Amino acid sequence: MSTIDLLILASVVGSLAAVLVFLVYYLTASKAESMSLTAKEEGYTDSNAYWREQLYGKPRPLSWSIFTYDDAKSIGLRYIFTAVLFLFIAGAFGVLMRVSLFDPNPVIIQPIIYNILMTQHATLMIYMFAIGAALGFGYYLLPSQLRLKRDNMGHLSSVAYWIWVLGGALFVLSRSSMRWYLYPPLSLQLTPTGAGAFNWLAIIAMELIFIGVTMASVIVLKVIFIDRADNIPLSKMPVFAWSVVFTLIMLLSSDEPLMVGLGMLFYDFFNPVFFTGTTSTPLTFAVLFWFWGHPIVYIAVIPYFGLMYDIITRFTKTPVYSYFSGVFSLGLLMILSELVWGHHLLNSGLGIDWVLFFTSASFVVVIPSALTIFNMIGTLWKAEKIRLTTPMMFVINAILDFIIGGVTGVMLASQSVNEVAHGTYFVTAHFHFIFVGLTLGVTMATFYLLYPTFSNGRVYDERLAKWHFYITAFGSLLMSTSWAVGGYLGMPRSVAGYFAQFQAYQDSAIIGGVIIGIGQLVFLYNIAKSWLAQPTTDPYNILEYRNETNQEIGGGE
Amino acid sequence: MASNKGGVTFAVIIILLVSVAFGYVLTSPTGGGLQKSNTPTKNTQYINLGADAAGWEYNYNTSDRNPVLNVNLSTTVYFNVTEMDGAPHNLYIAYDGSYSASAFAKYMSDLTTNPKSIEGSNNYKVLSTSEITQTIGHKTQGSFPFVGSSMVGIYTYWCSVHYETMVGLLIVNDTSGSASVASMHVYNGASPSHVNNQSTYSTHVSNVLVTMETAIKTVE
Repeated sequence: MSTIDLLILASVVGSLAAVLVFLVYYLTASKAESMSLTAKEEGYTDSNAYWREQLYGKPRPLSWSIFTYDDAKSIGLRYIFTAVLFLFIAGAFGVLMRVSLFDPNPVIIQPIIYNILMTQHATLMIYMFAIGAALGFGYYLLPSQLRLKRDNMGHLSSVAYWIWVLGGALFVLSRSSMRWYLYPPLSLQLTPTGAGAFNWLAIIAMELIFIGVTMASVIVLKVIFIDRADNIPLSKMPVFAWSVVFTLIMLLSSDEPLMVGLGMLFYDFFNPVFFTGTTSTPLTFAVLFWFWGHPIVYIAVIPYFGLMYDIITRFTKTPVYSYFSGVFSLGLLMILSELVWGHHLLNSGLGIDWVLFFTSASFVVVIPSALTIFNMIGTLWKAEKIRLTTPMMFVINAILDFIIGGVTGVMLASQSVNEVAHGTYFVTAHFHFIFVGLTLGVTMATFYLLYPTFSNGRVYDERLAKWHFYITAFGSLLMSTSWAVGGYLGMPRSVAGYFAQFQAYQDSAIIGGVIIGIGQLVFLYNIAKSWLAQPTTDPYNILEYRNETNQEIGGGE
Repeated sequence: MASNKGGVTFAVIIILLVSVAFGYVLTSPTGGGLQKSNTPTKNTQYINLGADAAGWEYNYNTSDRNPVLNVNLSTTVYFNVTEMDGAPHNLYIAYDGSYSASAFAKYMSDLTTNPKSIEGSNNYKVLSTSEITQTIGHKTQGSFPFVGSSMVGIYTYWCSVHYETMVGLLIVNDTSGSASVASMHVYNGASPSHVNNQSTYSTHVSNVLVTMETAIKTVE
């Protein structure tokens, strides 16, 4: 394409974008104008405060106005639906990666594209889906669970949300292929065969995501600790609120090392002194990264533990087996998460003393994890009757998958096993058991539970939802089990091809991955189809607006 | 979306954005340009160049500018580049074409008449502007392995900041001797005097230091 053609194309695209931006601005501005007029008639100077008061205590259905209102529930809806959007984008990338591996040689897509897909899949799933959905459920559920006294930092939450979305969009645009580790010197090579020509944009995008998430975390912690209703003491908060507290403290205490590390990495583009110079080592960055990188994988799990507790108590009509040990074990997970990051670097030459420390610390993580799981099983055990609705089935499947994923994780934490199994699909299997089974499953369970609220009183198709559950659970089990077996036999991960002796494991994993993808399409179809019906139920949801906390649940609604 | 279309709208938005993201990622550039091979090479050769806006100085010799460099196949060439004038410099190489006498003559004339035409976009950045810091006398090293029969031929090496003055040709010879230029600087690894010419380098650095001292005195 010649320069003139390029200029013409750029000007046409630029003009269209300008028209679109103006249209959005016009619609938003006129909406804001009419909102502030209404507020003024009611005697308010701050229109947002007026609207937050008007909206308080009411369920918030999905509508375009969630982008103009900045009450906590609108922000929550933005986070939840953006997270689901990124789940579909990153999931589609993942399915394409699977499909491309049907031949041992990379014939469908080139290895460079495979690397881009892998980087985008991992980063978007963790930063945009797992953290986004956790923050979204926090924003959406906590105001009603804790009956907030006030809701006064909406404008900052809105800014945090947009910074976070901008970061995610820029990360996709950067076409980075450096994996989510961002290790130098690969991430410093701005070529298609290195980390992608626009990898510097990916570093900026990551920094933006961090800024947005950090802002939102501070606000949610403030909501829990300061704005909580006076008659709900900390010891009576739902387990979900506790899990959000632990998650966000963990996030705020461990994301600084990587934020600083990203800044140093960006400086290295211009003057490589920090990680690739003669007196420095890339391992420095690896340490900075994993100091954050281990807590982040707990951040993607702990809020969902809280949701699981809440969902189980709802569908068994039984209080949590032991509220104290439930909260205590989540708190213990928070502390231990800061001490085990070295098990990601067991083979990098840390020295036997540190390896022993990190291996032992990783084994200790079993204690709070097992406490959590046994607590949930105990709650189920005590229940007289378990209502096997779709959300409940997702949660039971999450318990099962977490046990498998947790045990494989403990195996990997052992230095001797790690030396053999690191860099194989065994690792991939370990975290996909947890992320697909638990993070994705519990998000879907909560989404189904909140669906009547989102859709202003419509009900989802129970039959399709059951299909969604069975397909997802089976696909996840098939895919991850194939990986676990193949990986233990030495199938290397993160590569666009493989040795033909692993064909059977790859093929079954492909089938599993495609099945998961089909399952999510069923979910999307269910949402669209059920919304077309007329509202038939009360939009007040059982996860919200309850008068009792977990210990005192009597008889449901 | 109090209307009944909320779910449909959401689904359509998801499908649209997923398709856009798919198309965007799948159309990513895949390579192009010179690729640095991971195949081990038999030989290593060192080429000392001074980075001066007036032209690349072979062995830091101001009277020997923009030399034609000859190297053999299966060789990793190390470019020892020293900052001479404090201006920003970098070092690119790009493949021009296979060797023939007429092609060589054409590229030689292009060097002076139209250097842009042989400074291709399919290039490899051996050293970046930040690596050749603008500190006079700073020595840095970049390498490129010429390995595999497809790498025989004529290359251009240049600085993209001073693309008209700092540009020269590099010829990769097949070891069987089918393509070779007899004259100019032949780097076949046989002559140890060309390897890491430390004496020339230290002389040069002392010269530079004297120049800087004089400059500082003048300023004072």
